Amino acid sequence: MVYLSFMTRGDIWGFKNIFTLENYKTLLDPFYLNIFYNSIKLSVISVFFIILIGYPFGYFMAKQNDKWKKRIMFLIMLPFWTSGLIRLYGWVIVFRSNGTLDKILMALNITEKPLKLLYSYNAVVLGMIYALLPFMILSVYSSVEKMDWSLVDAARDLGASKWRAFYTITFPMTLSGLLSGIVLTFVPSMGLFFVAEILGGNKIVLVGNVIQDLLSRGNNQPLAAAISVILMLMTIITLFLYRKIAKTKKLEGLY
Amino acid sequence: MTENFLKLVNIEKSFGTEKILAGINLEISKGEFITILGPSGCGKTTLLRIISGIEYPDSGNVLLENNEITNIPAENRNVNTVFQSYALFPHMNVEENVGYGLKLKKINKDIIKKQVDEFLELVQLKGYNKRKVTELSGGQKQRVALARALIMNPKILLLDEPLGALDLKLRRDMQLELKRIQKKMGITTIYVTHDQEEAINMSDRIAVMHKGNFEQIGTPDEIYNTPKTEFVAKFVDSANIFRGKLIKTGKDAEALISNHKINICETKLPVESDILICCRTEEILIGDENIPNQGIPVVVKEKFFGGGNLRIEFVLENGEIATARRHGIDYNLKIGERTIIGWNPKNTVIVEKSDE
Repeated sequence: MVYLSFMTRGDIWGFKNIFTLENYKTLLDPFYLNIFYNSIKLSVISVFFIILIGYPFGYFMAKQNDKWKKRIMFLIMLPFWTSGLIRLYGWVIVFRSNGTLDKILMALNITEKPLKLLYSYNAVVLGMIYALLPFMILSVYSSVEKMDWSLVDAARDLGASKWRAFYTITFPMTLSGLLSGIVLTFVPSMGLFFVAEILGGNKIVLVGNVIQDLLSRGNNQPLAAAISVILMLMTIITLFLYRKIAKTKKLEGLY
Repeated sequence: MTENFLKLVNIEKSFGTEKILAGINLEISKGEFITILGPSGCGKTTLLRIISGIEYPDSGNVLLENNEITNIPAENRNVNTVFQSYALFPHMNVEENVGYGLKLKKINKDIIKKQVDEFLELVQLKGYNKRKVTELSGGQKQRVALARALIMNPKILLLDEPLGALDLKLRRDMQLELKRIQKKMGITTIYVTHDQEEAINMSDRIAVMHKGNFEQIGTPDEIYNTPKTEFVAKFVDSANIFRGKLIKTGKDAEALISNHKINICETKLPVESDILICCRTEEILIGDENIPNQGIPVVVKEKFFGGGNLRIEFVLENGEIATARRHGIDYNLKIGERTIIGWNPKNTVIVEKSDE
């Protein structure tokens, strides 16, 4: 793919074995830079909400007794038995004008008009959160699960309030879980083009959509390869940062 | 010494349907070193957690210097604990661990630094400030945990089996070390352990705990020489317990054990009472060792050596087992040999029956 990214686009199909930096130059075009910017922005927003929901969820899940842990785990795993694409179409039914959500909200007199949620930015963010949240929950869960609670007792014993003990002890001790959760959600979020396509209705163009477009319609394999290379570089940088910050090579909850 | 420095009144605690503490009463004087001794699961750690404020009792009161502190949370008690697993904060170095409590009090950094140095020196870890706690040995972790608690200048220091994870030699060194520091600081200390040796070596008083109750509270001497109950006798250095029937009461009391008449200690119990007679293993006399009365016939069952002592096990005619302990490695008795055992009546104690 790296090789392909330096080649010239073919006249009708494929590519020519002629070395060029043209593909990467094209990426500096504001159009593409803007797409990268939008993708990163969407990912950051999504990951932000995923942290906000996922950390407390994983935390409290790990503090339940075994029976409830199993039940919650089952509920989290349940959707994975269906294809992600099909589940997204489920969201379409929920979000669309006069869809399930609108009907419920109107029936409860919370809103008067249909919200027109489908094909909006918010719908895409919601879809992202939905698709990636389990990864955050599970990695936070596994780090909180491993937590030695006698450390919190010790902190309390030494004069720390509950909240103080949480942010001086529990939070730093479970930070690796949170960070690996960020890696596990941020990296795939850059490539989840179908979420933007199905719930955003082509109004929101992300890097993944561009790659898909260039390959299926644009017939520009080298340019698509160049974008992919950039995406991979970003992934590598994210992982590198993770290792720097978390001081570990393991991704919590994965291996 | 002021009496009633710490007072526990009728402390009860259950987890689910299980009763962990069944009405604990205890009074501790200022500067006293008291040990709560008991097997694992007897409730001693729970009691410690109630004193520290990490756990609250279902009923009963905790009074410190005559102030009710039963429901005051751990962080406001000025009582500090050295935890069983040390509970050092792995993401902080030695200095940060020891200074953690002072930092919460918003004390000036330079003062914290000075105090940390002072206490690290006290526990003989001078210069270990920047070490990672994960790189310390068990004994060193122990010392850091101790310094971290002592630096808070606690009214009461709680120690939860602090030497449990150390090997025998280190454990003996740390016993002396702990005692030295405790004396130097004159700090009121409650020590929890299942190790009777530790308890006897270190304590001013011992409270023997069994199934959520104190069976006996007394000096190491009292606990060892005059155990009140069957459990105390067995738990502290596994003394012999003989089932018997009292046939003569008063000064020259006599009992029937395994159908043989034998003199026992003075008692006021009525004749015909079923009694339990306790005799320490080193006080059991064997065969021709000048038994002052006729003795009980037995068969030698087993001999084993450990801790510089030979333990000889006998089977009585009624099937009960008795053990004698002698210094050295050998004793001229063969397994299966018939002999008699007995004792000097003043070396026996009548004990109360304990719950199984």
